[in-house]
Amino acid sequence: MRDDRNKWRAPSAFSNKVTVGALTMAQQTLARQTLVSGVRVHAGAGVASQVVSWPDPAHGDSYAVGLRRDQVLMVNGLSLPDGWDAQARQAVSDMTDGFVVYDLSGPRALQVLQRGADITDGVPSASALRRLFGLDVVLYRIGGPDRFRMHVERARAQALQEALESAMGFVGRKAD
Amino acid sequence: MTGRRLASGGLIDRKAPLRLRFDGRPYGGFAGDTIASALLANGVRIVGRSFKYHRPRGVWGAWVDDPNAMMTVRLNGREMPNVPAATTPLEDGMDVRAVNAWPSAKYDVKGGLDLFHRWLGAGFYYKTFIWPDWHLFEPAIRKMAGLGHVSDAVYDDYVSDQVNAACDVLVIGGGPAGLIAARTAAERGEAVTLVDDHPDVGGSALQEVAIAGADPAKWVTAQKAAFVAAGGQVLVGTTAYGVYDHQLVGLIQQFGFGAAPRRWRMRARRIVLATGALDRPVTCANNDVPGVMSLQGAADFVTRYGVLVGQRMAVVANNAAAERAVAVLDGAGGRIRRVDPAKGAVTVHGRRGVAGISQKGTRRYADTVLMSGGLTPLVHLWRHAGGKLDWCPDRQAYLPGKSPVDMVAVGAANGTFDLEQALEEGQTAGAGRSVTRGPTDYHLTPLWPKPGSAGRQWIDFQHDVTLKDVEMAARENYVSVEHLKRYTTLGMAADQGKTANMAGLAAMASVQGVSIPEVGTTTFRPPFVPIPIEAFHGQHAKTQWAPVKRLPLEDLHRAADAALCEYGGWLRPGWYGQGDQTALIAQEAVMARTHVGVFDGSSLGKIAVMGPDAKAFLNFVYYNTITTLKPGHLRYGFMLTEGGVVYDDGVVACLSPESYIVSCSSSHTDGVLRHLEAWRQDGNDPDRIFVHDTTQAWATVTVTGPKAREVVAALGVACDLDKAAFAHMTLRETTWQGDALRIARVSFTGDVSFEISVTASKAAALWEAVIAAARDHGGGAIGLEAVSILRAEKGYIMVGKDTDGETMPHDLGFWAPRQKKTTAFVGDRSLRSENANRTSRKMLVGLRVQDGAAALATGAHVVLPGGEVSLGYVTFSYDSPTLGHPIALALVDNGANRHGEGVEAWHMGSRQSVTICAPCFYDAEGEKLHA
Repeated sequence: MRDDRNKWRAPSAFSNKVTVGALTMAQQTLARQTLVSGVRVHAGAGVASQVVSWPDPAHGDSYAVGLRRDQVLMVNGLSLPDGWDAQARQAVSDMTDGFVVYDLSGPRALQVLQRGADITDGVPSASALRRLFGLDVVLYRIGGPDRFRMHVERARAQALQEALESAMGFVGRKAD
Repeated sequence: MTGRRLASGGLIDRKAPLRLRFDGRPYGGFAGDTIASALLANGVRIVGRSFKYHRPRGVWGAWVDDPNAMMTVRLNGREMPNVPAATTPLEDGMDVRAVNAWPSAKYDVKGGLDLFHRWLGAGFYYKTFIWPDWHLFEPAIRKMAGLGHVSDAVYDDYVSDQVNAACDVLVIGGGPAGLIAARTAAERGEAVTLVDDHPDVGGSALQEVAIAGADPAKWVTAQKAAFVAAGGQVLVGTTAYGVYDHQLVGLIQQFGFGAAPRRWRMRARRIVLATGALDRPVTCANNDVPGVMSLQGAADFVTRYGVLVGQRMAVVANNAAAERAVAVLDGAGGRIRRVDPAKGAVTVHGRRGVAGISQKGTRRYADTVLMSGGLTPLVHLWRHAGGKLDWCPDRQAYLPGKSPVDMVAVGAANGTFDLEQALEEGQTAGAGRSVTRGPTDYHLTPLWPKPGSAGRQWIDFQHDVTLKDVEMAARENYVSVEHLKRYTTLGMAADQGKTANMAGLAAMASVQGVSIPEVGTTTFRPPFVPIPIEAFHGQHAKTQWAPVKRLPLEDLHRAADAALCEYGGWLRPGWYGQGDQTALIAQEAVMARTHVGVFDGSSLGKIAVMGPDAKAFLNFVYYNTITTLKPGHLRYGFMLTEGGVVYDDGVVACLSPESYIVSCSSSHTDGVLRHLEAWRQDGNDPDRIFVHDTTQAWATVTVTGPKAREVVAALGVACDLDKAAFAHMTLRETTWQGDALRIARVSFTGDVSFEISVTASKAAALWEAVIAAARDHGGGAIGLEAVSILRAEKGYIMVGKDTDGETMPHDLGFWAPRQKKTTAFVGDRSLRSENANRTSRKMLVGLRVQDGAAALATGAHVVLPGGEVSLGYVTFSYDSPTLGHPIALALVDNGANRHGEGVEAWHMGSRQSVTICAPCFYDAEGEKLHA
């Protein structure tokens, strides 16, 4: 096999915060991320008061993000035991260590994302799952129109960060 | 004297002089020039050579329709080939050389090839180079083929920006019709993007005397200002190169020479096509001589660049639209002689430049011949979108017919060459109403190639396709236009049919004695103009192209001097330390066999399957029986495709009757997840089964070897590790340092092994603790290469390495489930097929070499002694450091029933005697595994 250690930037070489002009990308630490699946997770089964979809922003520290008709990602929600909850009829997996979370903010942040996804405000979606720069990402607004949050598989975090840094470079130096 | 710069006029900045060199000679130009306009202004006639005969070529058109002036340009240390001179803005210091010519376009040494043109007609190499062998000639022909040569230099900053965008209305073309359409739509409140490939909008407006009673330039400025004020977006220097499904339009935005273009993937709710029309060449004798140009192009050179392309110009035109261009040239001081092609065949004289024109035996002097054989609407994008074309006998052109979804053509692109009508169409389209093409004042006398007429008459200037080539193609039965195109290369490459296609179609129609619409058109395909390949990937390249997955422990592996290699999409340690790779790997394998080895198994899949039907579901997707699996126990099993082929092997862990973990192969996690999700939703109740991929949330450290139990014990986990209490293929859930911990007693090496899993954020602490404990017992970290040897010694397979696209579980020795399992499972039926039960199936075996022989080559064929027919092949081979002799696994026909048979391994012409044996070389009784 070929030793490719120098081909790939070491994880420790990635900065937790990158700023290009008015754009900022910063890694976030969340207290808890929980994947919950069940027939009623969208219908107020007690997982969260708000289920976030696109393009509306999430508000507050605790919320649920809609992924599929029967699946949400709870952010900073209640601590639930992993496995099948027969009473609530829902499957639970703690994914706090499974997803790395980035926030991208700035007045042209959406343009950064548009380097990696066919995404506009004009096409709403109940699911926050996106293919961003070829990677599966949970993507939604948080707090307002110019701040976006991305949850990406831990193993793909460096790939997403590298792609975002490249795209931020394009938007940052864009003249028009 | 030929072309010259006019004292005034054009859009150039005369206060900004620029320098360029062309084929080594210095010239001057102005900001706002293209390379082509600057060369014409300096009187340069020969700007290139044709592809095949190396005939001298001059500029034909003023924009994308020019097929002749292709350059290699060097500026600021950056060199680019195949730069179209007619569309590339001039920049100061450009060093320009014609492609396909040496030492210069004017004195090209290969110009003599034209003397042999009688033997070099269309398809000559198909016929000439058959004997004795095409491959003898191919290298030389390949070397001569193509136009520019790509520089060896790599420009790291030449990365194309990739933008996804959307709009309500996309207007393509900023001429009068496009401008008014864009403004109208924007003022209705729609989000409108207007694109034009020129440096500014205006299009053909510049050739008009007045538009809506106003000065054309002022009218354009006013329209643009109103459009922008209404919220419209203008993208100039931007070409729409293709239309794709779901209203996706590809746009290329240029930023000058040497800068990577930006690619827009624009989704438009509706599209207004205002791309205009092009002049057609007139097919006559010697119509390729430098100085023969498009009439509209010549007018464009006047109005855009202040360049008069000739002094004594013969105009050969057959249509009413020519009058406007003639007026422009006349106003610029050109001496114009009209030649009516309807009065007889025309012949152009001259070789390196126009020296005259004759008709009916009368020759007249001219230094330039301007041609207009009729206008051809630019309908490329219309066809990309699936729009139909209708033949218009009045206009002698294909016009947009049945519309594709939400696309409308206006102005000249719609065959509406009258300005007032074009403006009306633009306004109608901008308002979102349907456009009806009205009657036209445009008229022309049909002027098409006449087969059998005298002289060499060019149809495709770039590729040297002549009328005689088309006639020959017809004689040889290449009568379909698609065959004609490929046989003659007509309309290929940069031209994409802009100048060549109509004449080619008409010639074929005439040869066959049918009408032009009966011949039809070739398929229009993107891109409309040449585009750098770079524009299609941008940042999606190098490490951003298929990035590897990263382990949570990667930094620790790097600190331990791990060689990091790509295994199934993951970056994992191959071995540790510096020095001889083979020796290091062997040391790690021996260490694991004699003491203890620790490896990072975090990449193993950990897919949670939960719900009331989880057990039945897993029983369905696995070849092996899962219904008997109890909490705290593990089961090795195969996942099959519907064809019964082994898709993945892995271990299922039962946490509770309604909660399971599927630990699949590292490289198959994403695929297995999709596989499970697909079957969950097909034939099962998706409300009673849920699948979560938790692979990334957990990290796994695997401890293997005779000292493994002692190492795990040293961690102080609350778990009885005694072999009776914690048997092979069982699982314990406990805690370590207050956090959840799972220990699975499962082995991929054949020795006692424990897979210890913690949440990923605790992985570093666990790894360091395990490594410290392993060192105390003479062990340490091992990489995947050592693991691969250990598993092969035991005969454990790697799916995809020791299996192929036909391997079924019984080929690997796993017969029982299909004989005993009574419930349905994926792949069940296929295992009962005749193919599945052939005795000649390739089955997994081991191969023993003779004493002292070297290890076999992986991939070597297994053949009978002296035989040449492959019975199978070696899937893995290594000189086992544990056993002291080479081992090999192979897939061999009927292998399970051939143990003990002597065969040969054939590789690259050499043979080696081997004996087929069972695929297990280590601890066949399993004493060490269960120790």
